[in-house]
This record gives sequence, structure tokens and C-alpha cells, in this order.
Amino acid sequence: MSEGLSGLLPWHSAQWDALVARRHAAALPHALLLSGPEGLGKKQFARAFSQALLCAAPGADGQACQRCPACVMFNADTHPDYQRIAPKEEGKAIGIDQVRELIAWIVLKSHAAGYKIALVAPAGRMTMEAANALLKTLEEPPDHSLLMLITDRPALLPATVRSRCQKMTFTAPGHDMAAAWLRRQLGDDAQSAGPLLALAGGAPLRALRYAREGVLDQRARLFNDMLRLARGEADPVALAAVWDDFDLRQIVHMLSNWVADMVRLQTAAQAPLTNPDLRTGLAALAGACPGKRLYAYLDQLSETARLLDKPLNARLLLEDLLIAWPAAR
Amino acid sequence: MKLILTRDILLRPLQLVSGVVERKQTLPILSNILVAVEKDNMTVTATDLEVELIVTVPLDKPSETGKATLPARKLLDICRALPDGAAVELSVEKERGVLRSGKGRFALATLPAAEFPALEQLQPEAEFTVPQAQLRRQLERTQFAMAQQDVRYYLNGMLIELKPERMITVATDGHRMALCDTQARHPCKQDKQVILPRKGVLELQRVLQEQEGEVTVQITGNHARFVVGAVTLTSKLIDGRFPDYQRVLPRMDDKVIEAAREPLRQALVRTSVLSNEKFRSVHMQFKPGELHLHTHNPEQEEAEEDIAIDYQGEPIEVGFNANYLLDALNAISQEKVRIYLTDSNSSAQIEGVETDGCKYVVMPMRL
Repeated sequence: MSEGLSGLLPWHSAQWDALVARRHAAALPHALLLSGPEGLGKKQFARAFSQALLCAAPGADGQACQRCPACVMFNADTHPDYQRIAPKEEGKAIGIDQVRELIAWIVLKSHAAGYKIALVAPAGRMTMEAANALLKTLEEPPDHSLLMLITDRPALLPATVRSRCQKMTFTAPGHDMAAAWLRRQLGDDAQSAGPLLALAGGAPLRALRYAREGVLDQRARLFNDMLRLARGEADPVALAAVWDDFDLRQIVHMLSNWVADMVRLQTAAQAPLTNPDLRTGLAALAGACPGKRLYAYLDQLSETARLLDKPLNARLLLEDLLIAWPAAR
Repeated sequence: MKLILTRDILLRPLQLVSGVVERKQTLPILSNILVAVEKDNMTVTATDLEVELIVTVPLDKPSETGKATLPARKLLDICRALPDGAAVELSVEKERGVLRSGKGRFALATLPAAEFPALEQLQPEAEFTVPQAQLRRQLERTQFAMAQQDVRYYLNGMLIELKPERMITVATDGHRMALCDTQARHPCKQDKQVILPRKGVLELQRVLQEQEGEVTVQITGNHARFVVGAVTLTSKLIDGRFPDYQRVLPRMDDKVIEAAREPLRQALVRTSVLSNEKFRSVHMQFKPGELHLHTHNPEQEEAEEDIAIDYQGEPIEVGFNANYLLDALNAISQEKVRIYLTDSNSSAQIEGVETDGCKYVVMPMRL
């Protein structure tokens, strides 16, 4: 991880202080559900807190020393009292076997006679069987163990799991803090921090990922193509072929943002927008189509987003979206 | 780090520890072994985070101290393929482990020794020695009753209980229980219970094989360590409470049966062939002087056999899982066994007629 991407992030301090205080009071919960939008560094927070719990000599702010043998092992991912389970492959589920292995590990006493910490991320990826297998342990884990479940969609977890965890919610930091942090990370490219943050819904790590993936360029090109589509200069099926390689989730996200802005513009010409840099273009599109069609299109977008987890042909979904583009003549 | 020794001296510790180096490793460093060279000895450590094995080898040739982790499997395969008695030089050069023998040179990848999750020095709460043969016998006579992957995780191992002057091992899977109580000299004034996980028990049995002498046992809050000659085995303990096994032992009642072990065992083996394949139930009718065994299965096949027993009480009928009875009878090495019964709904206790501290309890089946 590059500088600034390990350890504690500036907007974590409230949650951090709360947990450190509970640690000093010997009142740590046995199961924590960390929830909040993607891109806020929840996993990073959980990792930093795990390391601090295992560290032999944490500092006054409760952070790990990074020097003791426990920290050396932790940073090499070999600390025996820390386990993390995640889907074995991108996009796959966390299966019951993984949860069973975790339980077999957590019922043994700890290696260093301190805490045993397990991270389940993303927790919403657990299959129903896996979540059920975890229930008993979640309810009555052995002493000195801490289970941290991380999710950006807590509603995906069964109520039986949620109710057995103490909740800790992460929200997007204020714009100034997020923008300042992002500008430091971006260095030369600091002026794109604003649009990136807007695109990422204020989540700084997500904005940084967008910067690395060149999402702003893609966005400009996609917007240009959508304008051409609206003017009748481009063919939806041909466009779908061009954008076939791109992450459809990302396309749906951007289209939703634009259509929402178009709805705002139809209500009030000076309305604050998520995409202020595209105001002229969006205003032109908004003027060209009735509001009803925009709402119907928003519905179609959210339906497409839901279908993305299903094994459907992404190209056809994209063609559907482009053909239905409400601003098209 | 640098050491010079012969192939056979290096090979033995590698073979001993290779059992705990797991095949499917999630952490790459766990497929490595830690080799540490001190002034006049070398230690080889392997761990799977549950069981740690250390083998100490004295060195007679001058060596440079140091530590490194090396890929266990590859090092073992190379050593095994070297000719008997070949001289071997093992050193670390530029973060590579280099093994030289004759005209061969093998450079292996290393991982930093500080990242290897080896245990620090333990602070034992109890330390004592027992003869190896005694510990081995105690494990053999109880381990078969341990549960496997039971959700009651505290049953997936063996209880080791220290009472004044005694060491008791107990294993149960909820259907049957094995208990072995022997004398042991240890400094514990208060009763102490630890649960050794299944894997630790099996590895310990492997280490104890065919060796004479004493075992040093060290128990801490989180680990149990067994030092057997040059080998040190440390296992994590299970974090849980073992059920109160005293309550499982049936009340000694008037229904006491004595029988020759081998004829009873053979009759059970024969009749259980035609028992239900899943439940293995055998119906036992104890009458004065005679035991009637009866089994049947869903295919309408059945088996019956009578054997002579020494019993004077009222007739009683009980059903048992034949496998559980056979496990107990196999663990008893005496010629005659004694069975205590209460009624058809209570468990039976089986032991050898000569008191040796071992007891087996089997739950009945409803027929």
C-alpha cells in the first residue's frame, strides 16, 4: 500500500477514539458490524484497529507501534491471531467452508495470549448457509475474540446476523476534509479532486480509485457519446459495441447521476448539481425530453443495477439502456 | 547463517516436522520452516498455527549463527535425493538459502525469519514429567472417542485433567466416553483442566511412537508443550469448558456382568455385519449365565448368537451401537471385562476386571 493508504484516515478519528476508549475500559464488544458506503476505508480502519489490539506497545493515541514483533508479523500478514475471510474469487460468495474454518480457528486459544481478531469482508457476500453457520459463534464467541463484519450494504445481511453485532456506522467526511486528503494523494493532478469526489458520492478512497482508473476521461467520452446519441449522430447498438469493455456498473452509475441532474435542472435552472462541470450539456439534454421519461429511465437504471449481479449478457443490458436514452430524438 | 553437517543429520528433523507443514497453505510462510543456528545447535521449526514442532540438532562442526525460513517441501526433497552420508553446507546469501553438496548447488527462496509466527518462550503454569510409554498408552486408550468437527467444539479434542498426584485424560463425542486415570507427579496443588485439540493429540501420538524415556509436559493458559528428546511439540488449547464427565459415569448398581473379552468382541463383530448399516444397533439380552445378541437390518436379514457370561441378576435388555462397544473392547487389553448396567435406558460402563484406571461409557439406543 502506498503512503496514506495504510493506517488511520483523518475521517476515522471519531470511530477510532470511541473504540480505543472502550478498549481502555475493557468493554470492547465481541462482534462489530462496520457499515457505510464503499470507499471510506472501513477495511483499513478494521485492519488498523486489529493491529493496534495485537501490538505489544501501542502509542498514546492507541495506534500500533509498527516496530514490535507482533507488528512485524501483522504487516507481513502472518500474525497468527488475525484472520480475514473474503470471497476466494472476485465477485464470488463467502462459502460455508470458509466460515467453518474460521470457527475452528477462533475456538482455539490465542497464540500470543491476547486477542483473536477475525475480519469478514464484505460480510454481505456470505451465503445464507455461511451466515447461519456463523450465528452461534457470533452470539457466544470465546473470550478475547473480536469479530468484525464489514459491509456497504447492511440490508444484505440476515437480521439474525445484524442483531448479534454492535453497529458502527461510517459516513462520508465533510467535503473540505475529503478534498484536502484527496488533493494530497493526487499530487500533480490535484484540480480533479472536486469532480472525482462528486462522482464518488464523497467517498475519498473511491474517488482515488477513480483517479487511478482514469474514470474522468471515460466520463467525458461517455458524456460526449450520449450527447451525440441525443442529436441522432450515433447509433445505440454501435455505441454499445464501443462501451462493451467498460464496467457496466460504472456506466449505470454515471448515467444515473446525469439523469438525476437533468431532473433537477427541469425543476430549477440554477439547481446545485452533482456534475456542475457538465451543466451546459445537461441543460440541453434536459430541455429536450419530458420529465416523465426521465423518471421512467431512472427506474430502468436501478433495475439494470439490480440485474448486474445476475448472470445476464451485459452487452444486451447496455444496448437496452442506450436505445431507451430519453434525450434521443 | 552457515552450517556444515551430513545429509542424514539434516534429513531427520526435516522428516519429523514435515507433518505439520500443511499442503493447502493460506499463508505462504507456513509452507516454510524456520532454521535457527545457535552456537552449538540448530533448531528446525514448523507450524500450522495450531501445532508447532521444533527439532533440536547438536552441531559439532563450527557454524555461523543466524535465522532463516526455507521452503520445507523442497528442502526435504533435495535432502532425500542426496546420497547417504553426503556432506552438506547450508548458508544464507543475499536472502537466498544456498545448499551445497558435492558439486551440487541449490539456491532456495527465503522469507524473513521475523515474520515467521513461532512461539516465544512459554511461562508454564505447570511443568512435570511422565514416562513416554505411560502417556502414549493413555492417549491410545482414550483418543478414539474424540468428536470430529462437532459444533460443540470443546468435544473436538481430549481433556487433560491434573488432580493431586493424578493425570486423567477424557474424550467423548456425546454418545460414548473414554477415560483413563493414571498416577503422575506434578506440582499442581489445584485441579487443572485443559483441552488438547484433535490435531494436537494425533501429532503427539506420532511423536511418541517407538521412543522410550520421559516426556516433559508444560502447560500454560493457552498452550500445552511436550518435550520428547530432541522434539518439542506445542499445541494450542481449545478455548472452552469440557462437560463434567463425572456426571456421565453411571451409578454402580447391582447389575454387574463379567465376560471374556475376545469371545464377546468376536461375537459382536459377526452379528453386527447384519445390523442396520447406519445405526449399527445390536440388541443385547443379559440373562443369568448367558448373553443373547440379536441384530437385524432393513433387508430383513438377521443374526443371533448366545455367549456365556458371568451374571446372576435379573434379566435385562439393552440396545447399543456395536461400533462403540467394539471400540471400547479393542482399547481394553485384559482377558476379562466387566460391564455395569442400570436399566435399559441408562448407559453402560465397561472396564477391565483388573483396575487400570481406564473406563468406557456407552449410551444405550432405544430399540
